[in-house]
Amino acid sequence: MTTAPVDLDFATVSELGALLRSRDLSPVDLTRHCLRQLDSLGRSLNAVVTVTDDLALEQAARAEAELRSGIDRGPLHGIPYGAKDILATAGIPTNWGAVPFGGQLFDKDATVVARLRDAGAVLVAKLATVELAGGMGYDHPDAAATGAPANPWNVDRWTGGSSSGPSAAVAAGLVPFAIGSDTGGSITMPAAWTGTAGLRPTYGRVSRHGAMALCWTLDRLGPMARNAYDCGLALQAIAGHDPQDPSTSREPYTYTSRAARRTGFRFGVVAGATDGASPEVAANFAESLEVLSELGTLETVTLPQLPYAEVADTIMAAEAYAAFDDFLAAGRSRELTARKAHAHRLAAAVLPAHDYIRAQRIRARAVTWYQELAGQYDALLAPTLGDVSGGVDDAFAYNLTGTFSRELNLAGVLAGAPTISVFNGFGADDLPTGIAFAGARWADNAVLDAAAALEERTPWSRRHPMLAADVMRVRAGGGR
Amino acid sequence: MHGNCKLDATLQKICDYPLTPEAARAMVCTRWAGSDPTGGETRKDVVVTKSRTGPTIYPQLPRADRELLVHQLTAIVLARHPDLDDADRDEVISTVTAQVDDSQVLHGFALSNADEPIFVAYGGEHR
Repeated sequence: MTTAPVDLDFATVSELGALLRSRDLSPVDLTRHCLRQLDSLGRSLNAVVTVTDDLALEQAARAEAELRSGIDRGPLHGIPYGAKDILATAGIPTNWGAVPFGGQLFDKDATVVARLRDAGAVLVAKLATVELAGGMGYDHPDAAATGAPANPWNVDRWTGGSSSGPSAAVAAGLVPFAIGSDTGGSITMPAAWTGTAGLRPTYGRVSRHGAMALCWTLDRLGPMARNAYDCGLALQAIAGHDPQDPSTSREPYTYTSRAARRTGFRFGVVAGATDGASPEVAANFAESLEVLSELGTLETVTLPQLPYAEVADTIMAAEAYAAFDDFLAAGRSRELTARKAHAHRLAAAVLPAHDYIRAQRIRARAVTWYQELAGQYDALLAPTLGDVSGGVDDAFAYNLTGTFSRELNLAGVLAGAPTISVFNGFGADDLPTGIAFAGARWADNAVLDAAAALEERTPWSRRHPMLAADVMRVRAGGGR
Repeated sequence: MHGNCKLDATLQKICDYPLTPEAARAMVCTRWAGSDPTGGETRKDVVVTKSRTGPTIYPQLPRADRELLVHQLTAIVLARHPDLDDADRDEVISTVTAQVDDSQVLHGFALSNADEPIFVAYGGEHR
């Protein structure tokens, strides 16, 4: 292998792909590098559940042979990635982040894992998740079988959840991209806190077959990567109809074989989007809007006034209880790590069915109204979160309300609409902040293009943490 | 007995509000304000129907009724899981309270008979 002209840890998928095709880098060498990083830094950050050495080296060797013989499976061919540990992988434990499911084995890959394999990507690790994707309740970062995941920008801070491992691994440069899951913000929020790009695609765009079910009408899988463009590349590989997930669309999806837009956008800025946000988040959002104003028009929009949090809470409670009813009825929630999770979800046993149905009826109104509004724009904009990440040892409030309005997130969650969060600056303590681009259903490419256009005009997506000192302190037992 | 003083105290508190047929009827009347055949009843400290300032949508319950409902729903959860400890019990009470509060909000949102749940639309979207 010749010396690579780019920093392997923080190279994009496209940059790595160019190196692989020019033979300046081999898939096997790249994979070995990622495996080493995952086994050392990844474990120090509590980002890793299982390093899949044997499978990874086998897939990398196949990719190397194919590329050398002229078989090119596309932009992910030979590119390592990590999968949140709620995705089934044949013969490799899938623990769902939870002690009671430790060592759980499936005999088939999840559809997204199979599709990435077909695209030539190399699975190098199962990555940490909040136990059961946070669905049983949690109010502390340590609610995971692998412990509290540290934020690569500052190991005293948390990544956010529940896609904590994917966000930490991408931010730390351990993998170029990863697959996370999102029920109420579990991709976009850790993306914002770790300075990565995280896409929650349109509901129905990506099969959930083989993923742990938490809330059938809300769960989505999506990519987390260094930037929006890489998210698009990964989405193209995993999107599409799957007979094993009847929610998936039969509409084909393409990202690369089209003309990507970089100007002429129409943006809707959510009124009051920075209410309750920290001054730094508000300032970064204002700076992003200034850049975006050069790429298109900005109009202030008002989201329909709906009980977003109450609808989402009710749906999540009912569906999460149903998804784990045997587990809960057996009293096994007390085997979970989070103290809150021992009893939190038991309460949903007395949530009336008609309340759940009512929430889904109000949600139908929300979808209609959201589509009417979002359909007039390429993206609706708001800060992803109101502040930078909290302490990795600190408890936090577990609810969907709070002083910072999360209505755009919840509207997108309920509407099944695509949202991407990308890095848009630093807040307090030099920690990343994010901006959310939320589009109409099926307008995944509009939000990807708009976010990519912002990234191209700003330096943030090319910034990365200086890990060594912090991580060495942790590894030496200095504690967090 | 559960051998848990705090739990027993909670259950005793719940038992202070037995759901007798009369109480159940009163709760039904509360829920369907305006159609109370009794013209309004008082059950201990829970004033039903006539305590209202105006007609509301089910289940916009007065505070005392809401607390009673939380206690009764909590009792059902505790009956299913009798070995929960104090912290667990507090978590159940807190979460049931939040669910009842959410329900209040959801039922304050006007819907018509024609409003279908979203999964009906989702089910037809890709056919």
